Amino acid sequence: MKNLCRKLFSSQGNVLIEFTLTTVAMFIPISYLAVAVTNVAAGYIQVQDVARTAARVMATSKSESSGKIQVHQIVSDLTGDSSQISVKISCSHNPCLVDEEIVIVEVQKVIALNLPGFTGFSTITVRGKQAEVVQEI
Amino acid sequence: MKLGRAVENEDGSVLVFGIGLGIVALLVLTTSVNIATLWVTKSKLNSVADSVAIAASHSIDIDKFYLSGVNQKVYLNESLAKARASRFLQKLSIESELNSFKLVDLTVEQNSVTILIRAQPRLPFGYLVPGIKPEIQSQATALIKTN
Repeated sequence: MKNLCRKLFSSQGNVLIEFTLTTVAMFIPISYLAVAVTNVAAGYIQVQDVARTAARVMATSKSESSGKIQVHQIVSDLTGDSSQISVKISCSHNPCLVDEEIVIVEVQKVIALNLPGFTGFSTITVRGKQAEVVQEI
Repeated sequence: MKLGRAVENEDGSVLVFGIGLGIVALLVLTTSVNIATLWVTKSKLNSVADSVAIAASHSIDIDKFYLSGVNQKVYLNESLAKARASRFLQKLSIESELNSFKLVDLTVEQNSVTILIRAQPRLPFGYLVPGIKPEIQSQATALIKTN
């Protein structure tokens, strides 16, 4: 009985428990946030690459209408799931494909953050924009 | 004597430990966000370098072209390439998106043009290594060929 009481009221081993609890409480949210940050960065790089390819396709296409079709095709090929992606094509001149003018392709993607629901942040929209010059030789 | 007792007393040690750990956690988090920003800026800069190189690569030296014909190697005009590159950058107004953006070098070699650009990333927490301002460089080469 005396031994049990001594063990219960002894401070030995307390530091280990405190260290474990504090570390877990700190590092679980940090891990979630780090994963979310990585997801956002990876998503941004993906939309930037897609925008670059799409702008090149648009700038080298034969006509505006065929270019737009090719851009939407290439975006869905590169991203796999095009439901979370929107594409906006704009030109510095009307009609679009004129020598020395600029074609701008803007790609937006909704990224799931995978954070717990109570944080209130479930998704974020990242945007990639690329401009290409139209050239006729 | 009192000081010795205060040092040996463990009351409040978890608070100090928690604060220390919190500071470390914040440093880890802010550094990871800053590193992610570096990647993103590098990707953006790569895209800009790519499009500038393509814009400059169409500066064919017309005089040489008419002299040699289409079956020979195409030569680019360096001053025309520079003018095209700077005109394209002006239209992009890239300075508003990237800090201290600079076209460092534009080299023309026969039928290829190489672009070197530099910018400073906009770090959300303002630092990476204290005292050092990181700069990101990107290089792109575009080549023009005749079939």
